[in-house]
Amino acid sequence: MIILDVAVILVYFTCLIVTIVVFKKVDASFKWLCLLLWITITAEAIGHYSYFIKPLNSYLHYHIYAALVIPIHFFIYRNFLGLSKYWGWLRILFIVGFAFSIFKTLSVPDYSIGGTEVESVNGFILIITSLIVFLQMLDEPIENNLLRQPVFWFNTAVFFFYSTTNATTIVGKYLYRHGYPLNALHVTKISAVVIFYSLLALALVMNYKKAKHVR
Amino acid sequence: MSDNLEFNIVVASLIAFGLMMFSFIFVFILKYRHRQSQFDVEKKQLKLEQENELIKVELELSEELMKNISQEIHDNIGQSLSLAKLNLHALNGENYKEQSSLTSSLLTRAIADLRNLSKSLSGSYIRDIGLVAAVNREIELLNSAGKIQAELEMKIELIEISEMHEVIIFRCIQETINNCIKHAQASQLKITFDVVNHSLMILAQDNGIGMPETLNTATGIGMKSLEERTKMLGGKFSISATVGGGTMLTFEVPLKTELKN
Repeated sequence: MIILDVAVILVYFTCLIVTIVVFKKVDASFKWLCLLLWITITAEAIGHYSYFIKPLNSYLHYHIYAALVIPIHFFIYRNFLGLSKYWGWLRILFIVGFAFSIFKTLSVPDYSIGGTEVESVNGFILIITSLIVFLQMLDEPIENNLLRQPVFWFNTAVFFFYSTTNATTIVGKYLYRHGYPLNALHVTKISAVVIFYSLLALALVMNYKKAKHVR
Repeated sequence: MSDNLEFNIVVASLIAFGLMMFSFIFVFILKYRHRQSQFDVEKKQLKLEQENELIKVELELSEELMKNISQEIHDNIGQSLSLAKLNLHALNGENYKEQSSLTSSLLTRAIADLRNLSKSLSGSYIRDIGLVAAVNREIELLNSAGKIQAELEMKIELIEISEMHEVIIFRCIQETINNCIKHAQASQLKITFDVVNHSLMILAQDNGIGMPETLNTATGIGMKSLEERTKMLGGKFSISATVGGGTMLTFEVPLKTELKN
């Protein structure tokens, strides 16, 4: 468990370094991704500070963070899917997701409760969006080497992470209700976080290399 | 024991889920590669089809050109020379002067026709005198035939364009005039040169019978060649009906691209 916690801190640190190095040269979508990572790292830092150092309400900032995830993803995906025939519908989904996040954040009476519903709804929207990006990539396979495509890594990360998160949430509720230990679930979730942020960092590096090559 | 079993099932489900995720990505990569090779084949095939189409159009065009030359030689030059030959045979003392002067004028006409034909075919001639002068000459020839009243309207000052572009544009106008003579049954033809939004606009408007609705730029060798040539210049070609039943052909050639070239 300690190894995984260290891995999480390391991956956040790596992401922070990568975003600072690549920010100026990456595409607009990946600039939004840098912003998302900065917000995430800040939220996590506040979370750790409030949990370990000062016994504050460690969930409050997560509600604000959860509401920001959807609009930032909207700006990221707008560049990938702006011309897609599905974009009109996806835009509506994103707006609904954002409105739901705001509504839930404002209507939660006790901010010490985690925002799992918002995470699940946002996760569902992002899973659908990433699947559409995969479909679009199959429609127009213009890149010679898929593994060098930053969009592929970013999309894989989103699809993988949010599918895992939603699955663990469903399974977690079941385990909790029946009084089973949640260790295995925790390990799965932490592992997913490590893989997710590693893939995002990889996507940023790929885009940076591509931008450098073009220039 | 039963609880443990249930818990293990849950953990196994999570592992299965993880494996499913990885399988999905793996299958996606394979599918992408397969689709990519398919896409490449489709792209190559499309390119090949386009090239074949272009070659076909070029061949048909050169065949059309040969037919035009043959017709020109047969109808004008051949006839003038045959008449001149007949006159030479009929030469005698009584009407010698009259006959020789007629023969001379027939030979002069044949030479002029030959020269006109040669000039129309020669790209270097067009390059030498310039696009506008070459178009003017074609219009004069058309007017002298007396069948169609043609005019050239210049809404712009002279534009500097490359010689290669001049020849291509001239060939388009020549093809337009030929189409008008052959198919339009028109009595008037007006060609306008203008510049709109950094593009050279050439409008050719006649008062003929118009085009059948089924005929568009994708059909007909002449129209296809006009479209292809305009595309070669990075421009657009369109056909529209005019008020009163005639046809208007529009060539839009970007001047920026032209300047870059």
